[in-house]
Amino acid sequence: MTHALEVAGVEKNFGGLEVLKGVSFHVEPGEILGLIGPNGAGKSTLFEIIGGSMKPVKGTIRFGTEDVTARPAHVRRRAGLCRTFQKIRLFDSLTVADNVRLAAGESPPAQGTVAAEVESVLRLLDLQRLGARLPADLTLAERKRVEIARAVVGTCRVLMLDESLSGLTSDEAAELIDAVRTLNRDRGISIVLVEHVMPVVMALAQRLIVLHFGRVIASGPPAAIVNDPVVVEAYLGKPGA
Amino acid sequence: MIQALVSGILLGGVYGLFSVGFSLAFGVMRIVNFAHGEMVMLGMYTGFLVFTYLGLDPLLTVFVAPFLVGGIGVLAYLFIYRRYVGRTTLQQLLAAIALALILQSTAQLVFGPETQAVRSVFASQYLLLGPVFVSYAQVVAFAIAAVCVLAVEGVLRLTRWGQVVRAVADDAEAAEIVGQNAQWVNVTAFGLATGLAGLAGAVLVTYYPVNPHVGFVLMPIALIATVLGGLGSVGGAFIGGLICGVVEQLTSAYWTPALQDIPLYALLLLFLAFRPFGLFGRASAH
Amino acid sequence: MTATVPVSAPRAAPVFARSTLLLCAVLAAVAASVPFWANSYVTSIVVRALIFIMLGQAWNVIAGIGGQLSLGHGVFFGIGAYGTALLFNEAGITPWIGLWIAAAAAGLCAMLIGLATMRSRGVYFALGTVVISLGFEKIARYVVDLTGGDAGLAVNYRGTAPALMQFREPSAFLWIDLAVVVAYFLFTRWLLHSRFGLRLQAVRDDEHAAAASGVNVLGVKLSGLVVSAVMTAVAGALHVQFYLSIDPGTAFGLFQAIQIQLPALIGGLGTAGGPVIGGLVATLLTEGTNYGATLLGVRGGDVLVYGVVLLGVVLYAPRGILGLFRRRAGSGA
Repeated sequence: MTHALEVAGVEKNFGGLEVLKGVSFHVEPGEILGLIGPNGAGKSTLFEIIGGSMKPVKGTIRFGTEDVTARPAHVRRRAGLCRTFQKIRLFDSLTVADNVRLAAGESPPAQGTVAAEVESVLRLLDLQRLGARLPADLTLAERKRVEIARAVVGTCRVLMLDESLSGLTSDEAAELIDAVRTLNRDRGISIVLVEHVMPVVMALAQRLIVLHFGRVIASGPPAAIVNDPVVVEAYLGKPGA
Repeated sequence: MIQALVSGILLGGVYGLFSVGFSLAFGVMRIVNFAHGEMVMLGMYTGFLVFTYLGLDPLLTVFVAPFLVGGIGVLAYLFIYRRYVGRTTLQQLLAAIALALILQSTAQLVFGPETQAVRSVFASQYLLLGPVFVSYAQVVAFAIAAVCVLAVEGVLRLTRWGQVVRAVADDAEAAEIVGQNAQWVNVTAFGLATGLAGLAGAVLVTYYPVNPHVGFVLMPIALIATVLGGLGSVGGAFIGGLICGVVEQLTSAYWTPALQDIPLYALLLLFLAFRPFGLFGRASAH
Repeated sequence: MTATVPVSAPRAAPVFARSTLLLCAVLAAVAASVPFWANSYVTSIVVRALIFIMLGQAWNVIAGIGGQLSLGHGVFFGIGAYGTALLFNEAGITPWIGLWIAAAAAGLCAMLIGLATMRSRGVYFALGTVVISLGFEKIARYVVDLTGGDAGLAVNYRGTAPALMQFREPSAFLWIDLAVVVAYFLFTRWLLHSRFGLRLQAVRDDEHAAAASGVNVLGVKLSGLVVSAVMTAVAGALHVQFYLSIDPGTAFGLFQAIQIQLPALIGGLGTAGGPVIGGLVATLLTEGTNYGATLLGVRGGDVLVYGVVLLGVVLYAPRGILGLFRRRAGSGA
C-alpha cells in the first residue's frame, strides 16, 4: 500500500547552520501522526519544506504516488497536501466564508459544487454562523477553526497542523480535538500534528515521530515513545506545556 | 577609455559616499529613503549658497553640510520614518516619495528651477596624470569621499556605537531584548546616513551643477549601488557606487550620455531577479 | 521585507456599498450634463478629471486590490499614448483600433516586467518599476526619430473626425471618458467579489498563506498587472487624443507615475469608489493650486501641494477618504 506521504532524506541548512540533517518518515493513509521534539528541533522548517514553501538541500517528498519535491506550494495544496500555520495567517480583508471559498475554488472537491463543499466544511467546524464575519472580529479559537476549514476544504488528503492548540482554553481545545478526529474519521484525512501540548498528542496520535536537532530519533506508538530512554533524555525529561 | 575609467572612479567615489548613507538607512532600519537624493541636493545647495553669498569655496561646507542635512534627516526620521522602522512597507515608500516631492518643490520655490553651477577657483584647475585630465575638484571630492567611507566603516567596526548599530541591523528585536536602546541607535544612524548624503552633495557641487530635481537623478544611483553592493554591506555600497560611476562614464563615452544610466538599470534588474543580496550582502539580510 | 499594504480594504457593509454606488451614479449624471450648461473650459477640466480617475482606477487594480506597489505605471500610460499616436501618424490606423493594439502592447510589456520583478519580494517589485520607468523615459527622449525626442509627438490634426477619434469640442471626449470611467467602476466592483479578485486580495493580505491555500501567486500577480496595464494604456490613448500631443516627461516621467497613485490613495485604496472620489479631490487640488500659483506668480507649487497632501494622507488617513467613513464591516454585516 502506498504511503499517503513519504519524506525521505530531507536536509536543510541556513548559512552554516544545519537545521535538518536527514529526516525520513512516512504517513499511512488515514492515520494520525504526531511530530514532537524540543524547540529548535526543526519541526516548522520541516513543515515549510513538505508544504513546498522552502526547498530542501537534499531529499524527496512523495505525496501518494507522486514525487512532489519539485512542485511549488500551491500545486501541492491543490493535490491535497494541506497545512495550517503556527502563527495564524488568515486573509484579513476577506470574510470567513471567502477565506474558505478561495481555497475551495483552487482545489475543488471531487464531487459536488464548491458552494456546497464550503457550507459543509463550515458546518463541520461549527463556523456556519460566522461566515460573514471578518477575521479581526473572531476569537482565537474561531480563527484557528477557520484556518483549518480553509486547509481541509475541497481536496485534502493529508493535513499538517502546526501547533493548533496553543493558546486555547481546555474547552476550546477539546472542541478542536473533536473536530480533528471527525475530519480524520469522516473524510479519511491523514493528519500530521506538531504539538507541544503533550497530553493532546498522546491522546490523539496513533504514532509519534520524535525530532531532535534535525534528526528523527525515535518513532512508534505513544506508549512506547514515552518510555524510550533516548527520547526521555532528549525531550520528555521535562513535562509538556 | 582610461579617461572614462578614471572620471568614473572619481565620480563613483562620491556616488559611493551617499550610497553608503542610503545603505545604512536600509540596513539598520529597513527604510528605503526615497528622499535620499534630495538630501544630497540640500548638501549641494548649501555649498552653492556659501559660494554665491559668502564668496567662499564650497569645499568649506564639508564641515557644515553634513550636520545641516543630518539634522534635517533626524527631523524627517522623528516625524515621518520612525513609525515604519523594521519592515519596508508601501506606506513607508509613499511617505518617502511625498517627502522627496516636498523637498524638491520647496527647493524649486526657494532657489528657482534653473540649473546652477559653482565656479570655484579650486575646481577649474586641472591636472594631467599620464594620458588623463582630471580636475582638482574631482580628485579632492573623491579623496574626501574615500576617507569618510573608511571612517564610517571604522566607526561601525571599532566603536561601541558601531557595534550596537550592527547588532540592530542584524536583528532589531534581539538587540532590543539584549538591552540596546534601539530607538536612539536608529536616530543617530539615520542622522549619519543623511549627513553622509549632505557631505556628498557638498563635495559634488564643486564640479557637478545643481538644480532642484537632481535628487531624482541621484537617488536611483544610490539604490542601484546599494543593491549591487549588497544589502547590509556598507563597504559594498561604496563599491557599488564606484561601479555606477564607471559604468556611467564608459557608457557616456562609448555610446551616448543620454543613455548613460541604462546599463545600470539593466544591472539592477538582473540583480533583483537573480542576486538580490548583491555582491557582498548576506542572504539572510532580508 | 515586503511592500505589503498594512491596512487592508475592509469589506463594505452593504449599506455603504450602496451609498457609494448611488453617489457615483449621481456624479456620473452630473458629469454627463456638464457640456450643456458649462463652457468648454469647464468641460475640459472635467475631461482632465476623468482621465485622472481612470488612471487611478487602473492602478488601484494591481496596487489597491492586489497590493503590489507599482511605482512605474507611467510606462503603460506612455505606451498607450505613444502607441496610439504613432499608429495613427505613421500607419493611418484609427485610434479606435489603434488603442487596442497599444493596450495589448502594454499588456505584453506588463507580462515581461512582471516576470522580471514579481518573483522576488514586494519592495523589489516597487524599486524595479521605478527603474524601468526611468529607463523608458530616457529611451523615449533619445530615439528622436521615432518619438520626437524631448519635444514629443503631435497627433496629425484632422479637425472634427469622429472616425479618427478627433473632436474640436471637448464634450465628445467627456462622454467617451465618462463611459470608460463608469465601465472601470463597474469592473472594479465586480472584481472585488469575483474569484480573481479574491485571489488578488489573498495575495495582498498574505502571499505565503495564499500559496498554501492553492493560489498560484505569481500567476495572479502577473494577471493583475496585465489587466491594470491594459486599463492604464487605454487612458493613455484617450489622453493623447484629447491633447493631441505627448512627450516623454508627461508619459513616462516619475512625476506622472506618482500622480497616477494619488486618486486611489486619497480616495481609498482597494475600493471601487475610492479612485473616483480621490480623482475628483486631486483634480480640484491641482486646479486650485495652479490658480493660486498664477495669482501669486510662482511655479512648481502644485508639486508641493501634492507632496503635502500625499504625506498627510499616508500618515493620517492611510485608508483614504472612504476609509474615514467606513468602519470595518464587522458582525452581521
